[in-house]
Amino acid sequence: MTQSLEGPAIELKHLGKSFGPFRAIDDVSLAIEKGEVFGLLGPNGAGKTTTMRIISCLLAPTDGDVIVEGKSVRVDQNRVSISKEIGLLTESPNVYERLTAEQNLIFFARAYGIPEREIESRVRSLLQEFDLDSRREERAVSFSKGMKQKLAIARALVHRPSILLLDEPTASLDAESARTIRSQISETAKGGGHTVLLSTHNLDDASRLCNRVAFINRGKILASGSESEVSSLMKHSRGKTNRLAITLVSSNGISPEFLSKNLTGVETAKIDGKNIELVFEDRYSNEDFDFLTSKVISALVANGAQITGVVQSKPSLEDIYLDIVGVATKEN
Amino acid sequence: MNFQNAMLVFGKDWLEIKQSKQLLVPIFVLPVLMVVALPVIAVQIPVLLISGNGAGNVPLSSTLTLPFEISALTVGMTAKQAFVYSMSAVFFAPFTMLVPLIVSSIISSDSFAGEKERKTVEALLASPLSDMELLVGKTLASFVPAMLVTVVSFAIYAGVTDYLDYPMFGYAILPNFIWILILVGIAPAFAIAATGMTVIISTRTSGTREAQQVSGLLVIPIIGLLFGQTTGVILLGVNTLLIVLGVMIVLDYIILRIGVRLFNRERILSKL
Repeated sequence: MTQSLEGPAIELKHLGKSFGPFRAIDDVSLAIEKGEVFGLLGPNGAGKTTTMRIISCLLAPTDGDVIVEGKSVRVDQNRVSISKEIGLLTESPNVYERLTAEQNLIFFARAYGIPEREIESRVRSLLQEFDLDSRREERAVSFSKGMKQKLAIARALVHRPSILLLDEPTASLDAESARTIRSQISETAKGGGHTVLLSTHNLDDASRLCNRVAFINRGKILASGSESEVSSLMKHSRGKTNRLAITLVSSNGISPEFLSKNLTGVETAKIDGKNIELVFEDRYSNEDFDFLTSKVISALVANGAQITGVVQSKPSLEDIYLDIVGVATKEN
Repeated sequence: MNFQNAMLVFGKDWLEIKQSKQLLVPIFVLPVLMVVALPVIAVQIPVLLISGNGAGNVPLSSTLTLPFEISALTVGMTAKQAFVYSMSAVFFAPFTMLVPLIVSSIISSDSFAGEKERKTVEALLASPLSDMELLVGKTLASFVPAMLVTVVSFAIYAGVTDYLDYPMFGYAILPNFIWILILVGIAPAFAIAATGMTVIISTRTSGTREAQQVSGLLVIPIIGLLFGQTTGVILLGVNTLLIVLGVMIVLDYIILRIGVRLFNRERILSKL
């Protein structure tokens, strides 16, 4: 696919969408850079799917605009070229169950205008890549949910799009299938250099796959950035605190007073036998915490301590999400 | 509009239809019943009336007080021939209109509302295919099989009728002008109307049942024609058929205009 060399792959500019009196998307602005995996996280009904549908020209924005590879979704003539840039995986494994795996891919390859001479090899290679080649002539109705989801991802990739929009790719899958799909997405994103917009309420998926995330609730973006950037926006201390547990050969010569005096950012310090537990002040981001951890270790070693173990405890993406989205939900 | 893309959609739907027993069974049940049962009924009734115990007392002349249009077609026939001819070639004609109507409403509700129900429509709408290419492709996917089933079932009906009636007439009574007019004019018009009604309802619902029920409303005028014939109020002669055809062409135009206006991505997805 041809791509514009400058600017983000997808840019949402004050995007708004109303369905009658219901405001599904409200003044959303985001920029998703080329080659990044971006997570759009929010509860059901937050506006994730509507956002994806607007990006893929399925719905028209009420306000604002979306620029996909330099083209506005508001311009009707851009619809075909934008749709060729995008591979869309919708929420349910929505393949044509009466058709075979091969027929599903061939139909979409033709719909996207892939030259006839390329279709066979492209379809065959995707079926091999997604481990479906041995069942290519079977109708999809006999496939498991995981296999249907693989076929749906293969379908989204059949026209070699530069952008992948994945709407809840692991929802309703069992743990094993979800893991397979997750690794397939990860490989696809890395290997193909795709820009990926992942809509999910599975925070584990987002944490493993995404470079950056945005939290969306009731159509509004509450926070966006890398995991450590959004963690700095947490409003409650629940789960936020950075903790450090250090195990020493012996705690001789190390007192709580020494720790409080000599270590920056430590709020409380406890020594229990060979174990030290440090709780850091709220204001530090995850990156700061990493830096402070190294300073603590250096200070202890300089004081003659022999360290046998260090365990960092940071707020998870789930802690951050529950803090930010939970607070917003209560406030509303 | 790129017609090749419309044919691509048609081909995909055609493959799906061929693979679905849920579609094929109802599509073939009515025509099979019609092509076999009706000619037998047409031949057996006058036989019962003449040779049956009580039925033999019914004067044939009273059952054959035929309207002018039929009388003109049965000139020179015996009473029994006229009865069989009226039944086979005229009275049962409305059943032929039911075939394209029912077949196209079954297929089009599966094709339009069914894609929404099975949630396959979003990926289809996200493709570069235009609204018009999708609409034409899907309309053809219900129209072509409906007409194929209609023509084939009529051919079988005509074959069975002529086989049973040949000894009585000494010549094939079907096809006649009424049936040809129904096949080339009325049946396609009903198939288009049923498909158009399904398109309209599919933009407002995500269920195949609702879509089928609404397009099934078109059965009402056909049932009206059947009742009209039974009671002698209406007779499907050439003139009546030409009026029905005219009305259907106008109706098709209105339904298709509304269907084209309503068939767009936003409207379809907002009801998902």
